Amino acid sequence: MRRTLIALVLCTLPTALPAAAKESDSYIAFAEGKYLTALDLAAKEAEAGSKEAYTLIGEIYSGGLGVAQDYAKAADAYAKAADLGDSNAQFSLGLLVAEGNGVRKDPRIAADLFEHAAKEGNPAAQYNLALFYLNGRGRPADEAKAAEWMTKAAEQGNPQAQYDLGAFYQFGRGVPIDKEKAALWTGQASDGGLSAAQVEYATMLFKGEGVEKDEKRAAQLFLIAAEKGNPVAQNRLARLYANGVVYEPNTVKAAKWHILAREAGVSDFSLDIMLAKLSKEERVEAEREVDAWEAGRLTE
Amino acid sequence: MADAKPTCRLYLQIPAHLTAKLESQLTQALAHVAPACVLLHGNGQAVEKVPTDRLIDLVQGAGVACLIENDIDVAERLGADGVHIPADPDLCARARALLGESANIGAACGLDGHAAMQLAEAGADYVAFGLSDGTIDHANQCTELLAWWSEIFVVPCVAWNVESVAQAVQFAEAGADFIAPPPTVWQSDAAVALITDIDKAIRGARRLA
Repeated sequence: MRRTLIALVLCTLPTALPAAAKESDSYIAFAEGKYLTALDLAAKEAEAGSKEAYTLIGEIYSGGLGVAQDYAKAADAYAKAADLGDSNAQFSLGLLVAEGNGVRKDPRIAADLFEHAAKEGNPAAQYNLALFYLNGRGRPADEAKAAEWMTKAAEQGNPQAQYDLGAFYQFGRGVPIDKEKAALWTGQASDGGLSAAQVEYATMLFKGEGVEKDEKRAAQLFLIAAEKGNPVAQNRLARLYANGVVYEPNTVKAAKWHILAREAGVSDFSLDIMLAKLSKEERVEAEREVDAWEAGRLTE
Repeated sequence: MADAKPTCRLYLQIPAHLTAKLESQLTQALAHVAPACVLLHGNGQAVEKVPTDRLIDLVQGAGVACLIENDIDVAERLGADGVHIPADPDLCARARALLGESANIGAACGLDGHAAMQLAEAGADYVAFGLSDGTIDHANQCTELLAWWSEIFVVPCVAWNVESVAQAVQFAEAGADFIAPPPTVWQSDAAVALITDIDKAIRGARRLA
């Protein structure tokens, strides 16, 4: 697979609500899904000066939870919490400003907000700040700084950041090319359950690139990602079955995974040719397995 | 037991001389359909004489296999996925020797079933039936050949230079595994629409048993 270096999509990593705030009545109501009660309670707590309460109000309005979605109100609440120094609010406000939701779009201010929160150790903010430096959005393009912030986010255990940092080492973006480190971080992201990372790491294991060659482990990862619906993994698995690599040759299984990958847009002329060579019985069997997989992923 | 769904696929041919218009048409086409492969066509000229790197990158970058017409050495040098060659068993053997097991090697068999058998024997990955200047007679002959071939042989068959949706459906129903519109298809301003229509039609086509 050609690994492309990070399409710039603003990535909202799940915002961890601060532990201390979880004790408050508003957060308890929020956790129970009683959003209107939570909003009432938060309004009172906010008046009493709780920055976390403002953040919660922002979450409720930006998510449209129990109320109509209202980015302007969300931005207003986040801004108050951000002024009081809440890093989750700084990050969330940064996202609204970056997208121009409820406020005027301004990449530079978004980057400032991310930077505040990133310095407080917010991993989602660190990740997005890294992307801003990488793409020269709201900041002058600076790959070294991108790598620096990406490392901080990755070290906090976020699979997406680990995967992207792996790509930095693979392509030498902001850091010297280092195949071992590329494999290490991609492997961590793979352990974290990110399908794209599993496919990439499996490819490294297959080639023995930056990590000791292990075709069996590679095949296992392709299978895991294929079952989750990753079309590249499905294509690679089909090739293994078609060519009898790791697995015994099995044209029906090869056809099943190829058809699924094909439907998801991964083309493979050799497997098309294999598919055309199947007997009618084999083809029917493969289609049956495809239907079963799509119906609920019941087989395997 | 349910009938197997047809697996007929689109096979694109494009002149290797890339113009801005062609490039834009191909990019659009690849956004709308996922062909099995794209064949770079020399239009009577050796593909070698044409700068094809960019075109190969465009096709392979879209995740689609890229084949070269006739020239085995060029295919090898440019890292193409295979070749489409005249029906000559010796040439087929040479292509296999040079390009390896994983390469896709196809043979243009015109309306010659005997040649197709020889090429299948020689290890071709597909055989293509059809002429460059097809008439209705030829179309009927081609339909018969495709039906006969797909009934008896395992090696996939391509319906060559298919110019219309109706013809594409006819060939798909007869048993063609791939439908290849001609390289001249791009001359029309409606090329992308036609290709998209053919793709849609052959996916929905039912093979007549």
